[in-house]
Amino acid sequence: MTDWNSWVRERLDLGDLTDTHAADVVEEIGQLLEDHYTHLINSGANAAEAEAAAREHIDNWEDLRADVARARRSRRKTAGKRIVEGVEAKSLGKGEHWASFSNTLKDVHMAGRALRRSPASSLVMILTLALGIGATTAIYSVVEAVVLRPLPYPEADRLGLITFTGQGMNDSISITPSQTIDFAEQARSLSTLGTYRSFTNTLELDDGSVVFVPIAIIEPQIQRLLGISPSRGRLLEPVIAGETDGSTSEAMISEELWERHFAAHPDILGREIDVAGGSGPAVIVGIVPRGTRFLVHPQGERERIDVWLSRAAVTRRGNVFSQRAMAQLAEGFTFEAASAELNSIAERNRARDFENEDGRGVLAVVPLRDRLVKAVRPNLYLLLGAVGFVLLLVCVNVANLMLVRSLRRRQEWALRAALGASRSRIVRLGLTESLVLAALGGVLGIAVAAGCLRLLPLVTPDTLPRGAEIGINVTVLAFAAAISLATSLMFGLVPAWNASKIDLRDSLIEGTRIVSGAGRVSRALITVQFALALVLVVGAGLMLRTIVNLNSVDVGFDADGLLTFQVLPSVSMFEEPATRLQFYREATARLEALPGVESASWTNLVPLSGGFNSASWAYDEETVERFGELTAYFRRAMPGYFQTLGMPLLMGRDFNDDDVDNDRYVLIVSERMAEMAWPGESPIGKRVTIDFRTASGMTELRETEVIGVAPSSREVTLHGDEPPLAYLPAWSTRAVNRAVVRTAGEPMELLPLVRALVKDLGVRRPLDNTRTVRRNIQDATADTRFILILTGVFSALAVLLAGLGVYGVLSHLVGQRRHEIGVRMALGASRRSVRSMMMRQGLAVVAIGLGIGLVLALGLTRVIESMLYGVSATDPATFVSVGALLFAVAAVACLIPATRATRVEPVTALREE
Amino acid sequence: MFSSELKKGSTELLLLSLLEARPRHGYEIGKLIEARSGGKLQFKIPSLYPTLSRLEERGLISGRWVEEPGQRRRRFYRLTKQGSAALGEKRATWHEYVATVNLVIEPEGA
Repeated sequence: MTDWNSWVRERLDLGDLTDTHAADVVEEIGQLLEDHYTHLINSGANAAEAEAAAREHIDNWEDLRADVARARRSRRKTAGKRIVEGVEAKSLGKGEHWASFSNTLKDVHMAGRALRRSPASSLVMILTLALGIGATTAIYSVVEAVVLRPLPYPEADRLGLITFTGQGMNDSISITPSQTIDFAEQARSLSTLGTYRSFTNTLELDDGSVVFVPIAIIEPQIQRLLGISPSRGRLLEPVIAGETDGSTSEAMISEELWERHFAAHPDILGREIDVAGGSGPAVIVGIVPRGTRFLVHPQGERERIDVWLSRAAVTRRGNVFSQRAMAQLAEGFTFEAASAELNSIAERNRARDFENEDGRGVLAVVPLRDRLVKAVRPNLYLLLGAVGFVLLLVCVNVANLMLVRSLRRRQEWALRAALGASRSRIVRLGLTESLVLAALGGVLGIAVAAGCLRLLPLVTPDTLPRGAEIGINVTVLAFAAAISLATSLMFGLVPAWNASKIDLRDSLIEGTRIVSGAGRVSRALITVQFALALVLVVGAGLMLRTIVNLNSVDVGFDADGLLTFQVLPSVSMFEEPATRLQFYREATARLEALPGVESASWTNLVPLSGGFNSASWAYDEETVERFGELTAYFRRAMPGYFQTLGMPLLMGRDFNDDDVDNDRYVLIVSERMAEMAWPGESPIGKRVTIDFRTASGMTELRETEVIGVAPSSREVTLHGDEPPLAYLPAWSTRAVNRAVVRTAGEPMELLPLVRALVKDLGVRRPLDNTRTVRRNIQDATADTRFILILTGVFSALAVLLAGLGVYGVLSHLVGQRRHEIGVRMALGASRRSVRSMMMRQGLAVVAIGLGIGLVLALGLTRVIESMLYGVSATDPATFVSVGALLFAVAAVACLIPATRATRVEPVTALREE
Repeated sequence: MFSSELKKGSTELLLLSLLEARPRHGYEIGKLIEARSGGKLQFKIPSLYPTLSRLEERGLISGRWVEEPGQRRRRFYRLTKQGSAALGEKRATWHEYVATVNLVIEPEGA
């Protein structure tokens, strides 16, 4: 006869269990088999039959092993330590890992089966989730790249820019050369300080063509701050001032420039390169790797530099606020401490460089990252908040669908509960379903996000800093996973919990009739949806009003049909003021001779191009006493400027050639400035003292005479009050190289003719900043439009989701109440009364949601108050119309199921029960 | 005869009830189930043994080896205090369930 113990021992691998316990198990199962064998013999079987039957009794040893191992948690070996009896093992044995994994697999499998059972609603849920998770992930990836990601520099948190804000000055980031030297020598709070300049200018290639390239001129210590490490060659070496005169300086070029314009020629090092605006030809000593960024400009300009030039150390010359300085904090110092130290150093040395009160102001070391993203941060967080609302709406929608589905499956849950499934097991099954849904939604959502990011450049303003770094990376993926998990909990817990509370008897008897508790939850969710949707749509509505207002701002001149461009004549061409003027006059005459051109003129700043020069001014001592220093915006203009812009002077005369040729200090003031200075009087002939300090950096008081008054216009900014504006004739300055051309047709179509003309006049460099003024206006509203487009899309999604939500819940309700409706109709209720009863059901909930939403919106729109123009954050018209719109959408969504309710045939409905 | 799910859910209840009167060993339990169900419920070691182990692990029953003269030792299980409480609960749920199902499955108008 078989030795049943050895039979079992050979087949049952109980390596997981402690030896003594394994022996017990073997012995007991062996005994059971032996008992079975004996029983078979006693029932009349022969020995061979009994032995065969007993041997086959256990058909799956592996299952038995797993079952025993799972049953005997506490008897398992763990790292050689015996577990105290009765205490649950903390770490799982091999078998248990497998068992728990296979349990999870089983759950996932069951969840998959449940989802496949109603493929349409599963698909709707997955797509809804994908949309919500995708949109949120896309916006997050923007926030991550622009705001959250550390700057790509070593010890980036200690990098700062030094800013100086003088009295009566706008925020500026420049300091004087003397201050630069003082700070570098004396500030203990700064470990490194270097100056830089960046601009776009032309590079002449070997084949004679000329291209625009972004250029940075840096002191070599900046290279270390930026952590630049050349992929070929070496870094720039310090230049000693005075020694480079006539000789060549050094340059590094970007890998992109090297490939694009030098065909990645291996012998690039040692060649010379000559960019306009540099200090003559420079020898290329290194190649800067792709992806290196020069992030100092809050408007995202010139983040990729093509030509890096070395700059001679700053010398003490003049007290012009001309130096942009980047600094690294020394170990153990804060930005506040460094700012305080710089202010005290500057004040100590101020008397050496300035007279009187000049040069007074506040210095600060501003964290580089703050400087870059401070302006865009609130906008991006706003959008993240808005898309978060959409995600919440998605969760609510899916939760409602899950709830409806779980109601249909109550009998299944009840049966499971009756068979001994615990509440936690049922909740777990429900949650597993949500997790599977969210995982599928998340994966699809990442694809949606990737798609959104491809479309995003169409709407993001060019001025977004670090825009090039936006993309899907590990952090973004982790975020997507995290929000998928979070959403699955949000939309999964309520229905799962609801299902687990099932009263066995009720649900088995009641069949599928809706339970009031779950109905309440559904209705509460609808309330939440409409509240959220209203807040979003109100926000978008306010932004829309803002855009409309901005676009209809009366700019004070005729903005259509104006072409602007900048010419860049060589330095030698413009050396002599006489040749310079000669050039402009000839260019003007030839431009005006072009077909379709009505007039042309020149200025230093094109309307609404974002740039400005301001200076303080005073017209008499009394005003100074009354107002303190006044600041106005100044522009230079050639004769014909006002005519070209379509803003004829209100009084006095335009500049003439005589003013220009003789450097006359004559002034044309805006109507606004005239009203401020000489209310009720004619300004013509008045004298104004202008302090040109901030324009040139030096104190230079000049008395000017007012010769004309121009209408107030929005040349500086579309938002806010138009500041006082004054125009000076474009005499000696070189900067008056921007043309304004009034055309009869489409301005940009004129460009080929203009290019040929300028080339013909001897300017070899291509035109820069070729734009229309209309385009400038569009750019000035780009940030607002960006927010409007995105919040608009989010609002549309929100309205759709809320509409679908109320539609779904009411449809379900109608289905559940067929019997009741049948009874009502049998008792004589009219179709109309049934319809309005169902409509009331849905719309009452919606109305509560909208009420809550209105209150929420009143609080939340304050966040966007500063972004609005010409509309208040609590604009009643917007609130009311948005509320009405959402109510109308809800009414349409309710009408369909409510009408369906009226088609209930009383007899059929009653018989069904 | 019955679906395996139904059987699985009720196995614990069956085992606990059979141990209510007195301690028994595994094979006896299996045979009793078969006998009392008139052979409609047949329990095999692979389902019986792990269930016993699980119940013991949870403290609802406790087993000990008993040697009887002339025989190899067998493991006898008895119901613990906790076990008899659990049995009461499971029995009530079961009755409720059966009554409920009966209510539903009775032909209409009966």
